[in-house]
Amino acid sequence: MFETLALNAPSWSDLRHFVPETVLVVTFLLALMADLFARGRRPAGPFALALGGCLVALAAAVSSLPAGPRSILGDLVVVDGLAGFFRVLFPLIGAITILFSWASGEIMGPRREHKGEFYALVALMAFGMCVMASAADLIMLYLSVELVSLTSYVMAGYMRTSLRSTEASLKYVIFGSVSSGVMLYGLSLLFGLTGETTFVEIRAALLAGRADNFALLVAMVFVLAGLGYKIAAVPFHFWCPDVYEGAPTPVTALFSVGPKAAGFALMIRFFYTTLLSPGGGQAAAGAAAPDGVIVGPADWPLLIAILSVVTMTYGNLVALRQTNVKRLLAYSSIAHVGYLLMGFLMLTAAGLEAILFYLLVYAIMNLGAFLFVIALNNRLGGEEISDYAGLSTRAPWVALMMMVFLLSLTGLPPTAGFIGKMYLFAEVINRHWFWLAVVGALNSVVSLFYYMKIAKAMYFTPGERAPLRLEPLHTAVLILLAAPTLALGVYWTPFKNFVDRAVAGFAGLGG
Amino acid sequence: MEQVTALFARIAGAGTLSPQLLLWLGALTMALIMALVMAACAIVFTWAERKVAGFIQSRYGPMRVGRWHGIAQPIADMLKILQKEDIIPADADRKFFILAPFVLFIGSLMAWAAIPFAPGFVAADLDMGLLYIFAASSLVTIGILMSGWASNNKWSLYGAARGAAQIVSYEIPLALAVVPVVLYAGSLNMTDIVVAQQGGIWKWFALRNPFLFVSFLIYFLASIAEVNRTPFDLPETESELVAGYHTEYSGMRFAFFFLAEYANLFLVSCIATAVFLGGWGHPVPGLNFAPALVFLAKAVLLVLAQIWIRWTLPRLRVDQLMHVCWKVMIPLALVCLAGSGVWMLAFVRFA
Amino acid sequence: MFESVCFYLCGGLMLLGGIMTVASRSAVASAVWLIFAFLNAAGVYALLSAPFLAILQVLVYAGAIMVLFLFVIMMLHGPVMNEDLRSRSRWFWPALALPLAAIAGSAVTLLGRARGGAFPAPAPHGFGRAEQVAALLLDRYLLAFELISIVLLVAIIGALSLGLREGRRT
Repeated sequence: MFETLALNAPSWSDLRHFVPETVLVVTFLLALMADLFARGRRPAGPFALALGGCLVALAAAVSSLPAGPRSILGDLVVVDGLAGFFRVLFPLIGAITILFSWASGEIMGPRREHKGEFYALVALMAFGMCVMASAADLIMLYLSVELVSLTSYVMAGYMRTSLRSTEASLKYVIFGSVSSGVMLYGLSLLFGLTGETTFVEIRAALLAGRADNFALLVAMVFVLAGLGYKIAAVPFHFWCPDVYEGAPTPVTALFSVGPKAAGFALMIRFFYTTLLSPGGGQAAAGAAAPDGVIVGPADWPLLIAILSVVTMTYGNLVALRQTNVKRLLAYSSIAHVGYLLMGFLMLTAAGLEAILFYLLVYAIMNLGAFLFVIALNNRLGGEEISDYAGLSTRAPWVALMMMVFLLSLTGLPPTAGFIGKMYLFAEVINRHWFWLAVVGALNSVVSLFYYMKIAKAMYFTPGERAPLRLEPLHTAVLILLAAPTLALGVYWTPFKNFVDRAVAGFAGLGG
Repeated sequence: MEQVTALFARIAGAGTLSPQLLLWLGALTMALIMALVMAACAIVFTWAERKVAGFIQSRYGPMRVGRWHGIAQPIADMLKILQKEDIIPADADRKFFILAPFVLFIGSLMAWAAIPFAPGFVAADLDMGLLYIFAASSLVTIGILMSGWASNNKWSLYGAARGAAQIVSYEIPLALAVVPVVLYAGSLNMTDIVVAQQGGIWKWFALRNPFLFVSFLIYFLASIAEVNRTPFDLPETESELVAGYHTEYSGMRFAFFFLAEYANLFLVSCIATAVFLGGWGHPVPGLNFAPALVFLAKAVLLVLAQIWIRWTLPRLRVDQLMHVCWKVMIPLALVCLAGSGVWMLAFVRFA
Repeated sequence: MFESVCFYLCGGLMLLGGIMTVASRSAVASAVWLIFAFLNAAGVYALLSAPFLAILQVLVYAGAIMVLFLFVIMMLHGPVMNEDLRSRSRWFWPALALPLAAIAGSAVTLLGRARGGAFPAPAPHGFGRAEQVAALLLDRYLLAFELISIVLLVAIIGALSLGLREGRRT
């Protein structure tokens, strides 16, 4: 009746390279159905299913690290080193979130039916983020961002009876829809300019000089707006503090690492594939040259450098004045995006390695800090800094673990955060972006002040003396997170190797 | 429409009129014919409605105007309604109040364009005729909402809100019910769909397989809801909402609502005829001279069935209405869709 | 010639609809103007030999989504609603810059293509018909198609999860 159009039709065998994602989707559907049959105060079925699914996906991802780039399913997604790294990271984040939601009063509180939904949604979010990390087509880019966003809106408003949670959800929806609309416009411009939807073909069209520079700039800025919203970089960060404060804390913890890392994955994939041509002048122009050649009109790394400086400075300065720990951590997470952007604009493999390593470390330490907030919120019912007064005597081990997370977030040795920052700054200096390095270093100093405000409350402000016993599950997960935060500060080689392999197998930058 | 333009060309003499002009003339004529058909069905069916109602309630209905059984009653009604004063409420939103009946009317008029009454007798033989009909008739909802809102009257607003909710909901089973037919016919073109049913009564899509028969029933019930008739007449319930969204309308403007309502009634029956009941196909030998008459006869029978249902069954409650749609009809329609697909794979040989 | 006139007419009316959507005083008027813009967009699609898209535009956007919009607006505000929604906030001018940049971007894109003579050849027979769209959706873009179904599922869950009243079991 009609001739076959597809050149790259998907086939079942492609799914062999898509196992973690498939597992996560199936997990979502099963957990959703299990929720219908869940009885009792806590939905054990969906919880077990979602946790198991995330762990299976994690195992599948670890056992099948992709060797080289491979375009699958109609060239809509590419499975390469980068995707391989993130599909390890996201199920891990999902599993941790599921674990500490189980004992959280905010999620498992009495005033809610269908609590199992939450676990299903976490699994789905992990899936969406994995797809974001491997999207290789404008359509997949948009759809995966929407999938993660929609899931986020639902989770942010999970506490229906809480006015703050509802407000958070509403704000998230409004900002999210505006920015995704802007991004969609940028994507449509890009399609109009090049007539292609896959990243690789867009680059080919741009290299052939088929696009007008001004229009390309507008398209690029619009796309950046959409992705900047996902990672909460500064001009697009408005939603961030309110959503982080209003959403249930386990959700905030997830938001602060998951979608952010996914946003970075997508940004790396999109910018490094479409606006960067591999095989740069490393040999020709000395060590300061990037590994790729910028395609297109503008010096977009400079644009991102400005974004990076504004983001980290704003985040740190505003964090100084916060008294609510969730809000403080929200601004601190904005500042961290600034640091990460520094690595992004280096356009080098080493820069990417630094980003990935930092994302891994950041996920562990930030989840740890948030878990601390959740664990204490369950007992104290609040999350102001003053609530933590005298904690060092009430729960010394917990206070100590929080101390580790705070040191790591600041970037002090002997913690993982220090190593992460070291790699980032080393690369910035290697490429002769000295002013950027100076701004970054100054910002780290500023951040010390507000992180230590929490430490001061715990150790030096006198408070109640009665010992505080946390949920055993919370303590266990805290230990699970604090241990690597310390260990990675001392011995990080295997992880660094893992990250280096991921970048070496990245389809951009010439693979 | 080709036939109409050809007719014009023959009347004017070959070559005297430009093809462009012929096209316009043809389109205009077809639109006029459609509008007349709509007016005619309003006239015929109001009479039929009242007579059937009378029969069911053991009374006569209108008997006086026109010599035979009050046959001229609808004409008298029309004349009366046209003379009525045109009232626009002081607090109404004038623009929307005036616009609403036209939107409603245009929506149902447009849908007529793709109905194939006989081989070649179709105003616009579109590739995607079936989809086009659904798209055009979805504009009716906008007219209903506009009228209800512009009237600035709570009964109107309630009626409009109910109408919109009901129509939007029932559009889903309606559309799902015709999808198996599209599967069978392999086309969205209305003529193709009818042609695929020629050659005997067992070729009619309603009788091709058990799932399609259920689909036909779903379509029929959903279409009653689409045109807001009992047992789905919640938007216009006299006992609750005066007259629903057209409470404030009078005279000519009311006539538009009235016209559109009966035109829609006939329209959904025509679609059912074309999609499920073989269009102009029939098993009677010697009837081939008038395919359009066969088509109309089937459609009129369906209309009579709807009138019969209206005067027999009580009205549903709002929650029952939604329950029937979302929890019964839609799942059932999906089952029928899947079942028809399986049936096709199992029993139908593809050329 | 005739098609060009129709095209620019539809395009112009669509633009008018879009502007009036933003500039209208009441929310209902905005919504109705938006429907108007959508209908004209459908006209543009039809003229660009994408009839399937045109019909879906009317069916989905004008016929279903906007009906829900109107429904919600009317339900929220009751019979009388004439508040002026246009606020003169300090974000007015920055906000205006965004569409202006967007328009400039599209204009330049189009001019660039026109100058390069890169306007595509007339669409081949059968282009934009349901069969062709289906072939793309269920073949090359199958993953995207399935992903949309998941996105919609989440949207449904979200609507229920956020909208359901507390303590009701049904």
